[in-house]
Amino acid sequence: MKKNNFGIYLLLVLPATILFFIFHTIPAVMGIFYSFTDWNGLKPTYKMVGFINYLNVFKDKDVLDAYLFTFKFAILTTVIVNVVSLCIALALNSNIKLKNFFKGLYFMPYILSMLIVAYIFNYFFANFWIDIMGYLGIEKWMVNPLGNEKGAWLAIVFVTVWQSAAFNTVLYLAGLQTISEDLYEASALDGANKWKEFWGITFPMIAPFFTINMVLSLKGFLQVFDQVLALTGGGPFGVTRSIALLIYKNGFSGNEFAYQSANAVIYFVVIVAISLIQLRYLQKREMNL
Amino acid sequence: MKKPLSLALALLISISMLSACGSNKSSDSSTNGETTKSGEKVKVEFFQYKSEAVATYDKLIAKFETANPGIDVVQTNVPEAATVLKTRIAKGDVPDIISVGGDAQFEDLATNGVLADLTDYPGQANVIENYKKTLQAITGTEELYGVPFAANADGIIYNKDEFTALGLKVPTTKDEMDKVLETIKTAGKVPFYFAFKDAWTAVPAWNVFVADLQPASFFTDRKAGTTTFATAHKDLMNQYIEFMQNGQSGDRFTNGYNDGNAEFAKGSSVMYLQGVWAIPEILKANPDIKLGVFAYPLSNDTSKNYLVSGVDVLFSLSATSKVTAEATKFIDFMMEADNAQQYIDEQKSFSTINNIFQNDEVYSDLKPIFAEGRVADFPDHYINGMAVDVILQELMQKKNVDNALAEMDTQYDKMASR
Amino acid sequence: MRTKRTNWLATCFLIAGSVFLLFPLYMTFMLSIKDNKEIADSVLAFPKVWRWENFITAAEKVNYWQKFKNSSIITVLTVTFTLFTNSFVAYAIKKKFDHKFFKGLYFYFISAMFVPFPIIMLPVVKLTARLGLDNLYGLILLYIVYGLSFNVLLYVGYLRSLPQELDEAAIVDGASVWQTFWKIIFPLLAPINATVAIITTVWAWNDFLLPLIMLDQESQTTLPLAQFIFQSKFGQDTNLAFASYLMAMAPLLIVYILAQKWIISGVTRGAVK
Repeated sequence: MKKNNFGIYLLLVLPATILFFIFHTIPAVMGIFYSFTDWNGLKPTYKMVGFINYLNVFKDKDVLDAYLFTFKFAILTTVIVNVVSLCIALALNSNIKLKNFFKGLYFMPYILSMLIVAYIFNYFFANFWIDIMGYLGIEKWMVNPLGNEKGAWLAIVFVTVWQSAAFNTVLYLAGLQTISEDLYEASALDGANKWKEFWGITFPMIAPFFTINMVLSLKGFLQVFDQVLALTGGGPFGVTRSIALLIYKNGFSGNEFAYQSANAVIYFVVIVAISLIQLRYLQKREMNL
Repeated sequence: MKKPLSLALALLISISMLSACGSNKSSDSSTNGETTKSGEKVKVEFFQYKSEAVATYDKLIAKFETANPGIDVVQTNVPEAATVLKTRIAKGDVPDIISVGGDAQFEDLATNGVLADLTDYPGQANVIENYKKTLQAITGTEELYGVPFAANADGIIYNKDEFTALGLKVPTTKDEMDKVLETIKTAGKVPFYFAFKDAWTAVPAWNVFVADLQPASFFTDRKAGTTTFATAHKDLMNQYIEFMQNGQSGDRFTNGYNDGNAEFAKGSSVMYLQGVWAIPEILKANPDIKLGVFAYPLSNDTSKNYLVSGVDVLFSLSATSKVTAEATKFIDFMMEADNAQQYIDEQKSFSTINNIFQNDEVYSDLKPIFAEGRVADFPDHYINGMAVDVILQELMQKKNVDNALAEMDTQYDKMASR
Repeated sequence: MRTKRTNWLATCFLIAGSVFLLFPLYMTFMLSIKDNKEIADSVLAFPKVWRWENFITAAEKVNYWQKFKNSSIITVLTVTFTLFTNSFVAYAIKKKFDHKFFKGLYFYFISAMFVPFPIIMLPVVKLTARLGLDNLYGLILLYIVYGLSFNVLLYVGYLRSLPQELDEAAIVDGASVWQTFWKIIFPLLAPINATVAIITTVWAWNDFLLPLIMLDQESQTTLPLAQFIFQSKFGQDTNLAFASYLMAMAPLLIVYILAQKWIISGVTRGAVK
């Protein structure tokens, strides 16, 4: 009986697994294979070159800069997105006027295309930012941040937070709604203040949501692509070139397909490693809370 | 609660089904013309990278198809053409005719066996010798992997009305240029409008500085390792930086190419440092503006003030095309005098074909230069693979000449070692 | 006692935030409804003439209805097939999780989430072309297959929260695995199906890179891709560009406004488990 069943379940998953293998795993293996060749994506032939591409990747300043930017961006954005969305979720979960309207509004950015949002902000930064800064009297910032060495990456963070905080907000809100009122009432009797209440009750209760949000956000932001392409195209002078953009631009339009494949393999290892470390660490904290 | 969603979904589905039926029919009739026997037509795909030229090509293709009812030419124009072309080649689905500019991408395609050898193509006989040499220099081969069709020019675009109002005339020497800049600034106007958010907008001017001012044997010497950018280009880069100080005040990194064209069109500056490819865009933004173009007067010796001109459009054939005969027929058609004339008239570019001239008023200042042959090739062909645009953009923000030159040397060596 | 007082601090915070959220949309609308001359005068003021014809012009220029049709076909088919296929794959995995093969399969799917897209980009293009799948339908297939990664995670998580006895009773009754799933389990999956449907809809509708490299015929392009093309071709016509952006976002926005409450609770309920 049991054996029989096993066969049926196997039959159920097999088609999907085979398709997944063909369209995801095989291409990934092919990508890894190319990283050991000198193929430029165009010529009909290529030869194996061993680890040369990998060695060159480590020596390449462009690659190093792209990693620095991507990490700087991903870490800051993850922190801001989670702080902002947690604040919004707390506010939405309290007794407020027009609750449903606000809920609807704050989730809205999630359904918008990142590419189009970035185009809209592109106009905003070129036409409004300077006026706003002039009005505020901050002369130093009266430039289009997207064309500025120091401002460009922060502008990208800003746009990303605008669009991405929505989804995390909903997850936190879901977490907050699982906390029963009784817990708070007990603590209210003890005379705990809001701050203590948050760290004593609220945060431990939503810790699993915090963990999943942190991991998914960081993983997603490490692969940042659309908004960079639409906002700066990696500029000015390459300071906002993310790893995904570098691989795409140099590997496809440029002449470095095999070389950028090697870069992509390293990138994959890095993302997996970071996600695992993060998961371990956060889960440990979760238990200690 | 579920009703609104299912309602909306149903609406979405039914609309999409409706429009599916509707547009299927219309797209059929628009692409294949009046054909029910489209099976008998030979389809030739014409992949071209200039979005500005789509309408012009459409007209010419219609004319061609009327004369050759057996051939269906399909024009493909997409953004990120380089990427799309590369994925198409990876697929083995190479377009029959590929039209690109004389640039790094053409070099890649030609040297990787994607393009057919067109050295013996009869049409080459009508092409101005210089442009054929340009293609050979780009690919580094004796063979020609394309036939040059249109050329561009890299000069200084100026607003004629502003020039008249300020009592200026077109400068031909460095001293005259300095006076022009001085007059414009004294009048409280802006000489150049810059749009450095797009890095490459700093390159057109740079190309002329290099073509006019660098030692003639620089690239050969650099290849041999007897000179460096740091030594040979220092002086001209200093001149370049000084020249580029005549831009608008405030942030020059706010706008990109499109906004820059629009700003110049509405009179934000008197002159504009862009190639002639920007002219149709400027005219689109302000059809009433009177434009002219002159060669950069960088030297007091007028014979050294070259007009930089390169191959803007070339036609090449896929090495694996199955309809070479039909594709060649279309190229023949495009190279015919009146069609080539129509193209350069509408696109405001120059012909690479002997005895076809650009007579537009805009280019009256360039005519004598072309007649004299005082024309130089784009120097950046020799440094394909270097990110000159990015280096120059950084230079414009940080003004550090030594760093920029050092970076050029580093990138050159990196490129050469590949 | 806590429930009665309105929290004005939070309300004010949310009102301030709304300005922040709505401003870009207001700006987009104002840009799309004027001519370029009036934009030069003032972007934010109400226009003297409401130029609704901008939307018609922009629709003609990007061939809006064709792109709308493409995006709709992709989204509707992707979501439908994703719901039906991904859920029972997850069900099988969850049922046989004790077995090494299925446990391995679970981690196999999930780990694929971390593979950066650029690495598979060119090989996928080659592969789909060879199989004749470099078109809308190939794209739909890829979405369904790639969706497995995240959806298996969601479904398995949700299935674990359901009581175990339900389907076992049915199986003992002699119902086949197939019947049990569709009759007993699938209806119970409604909340998580909603979550998956929403996430998949948003993804398939807005995705940009995959259509960019997969679809090389202009007639097959999707709405986001059309914006990208529009941006590079008609970048100077600010009003038309923004009219076009607005129209690309409108279908999802309308669905969202109509079904907002249901969508949010869908995502929320799915997430809690």
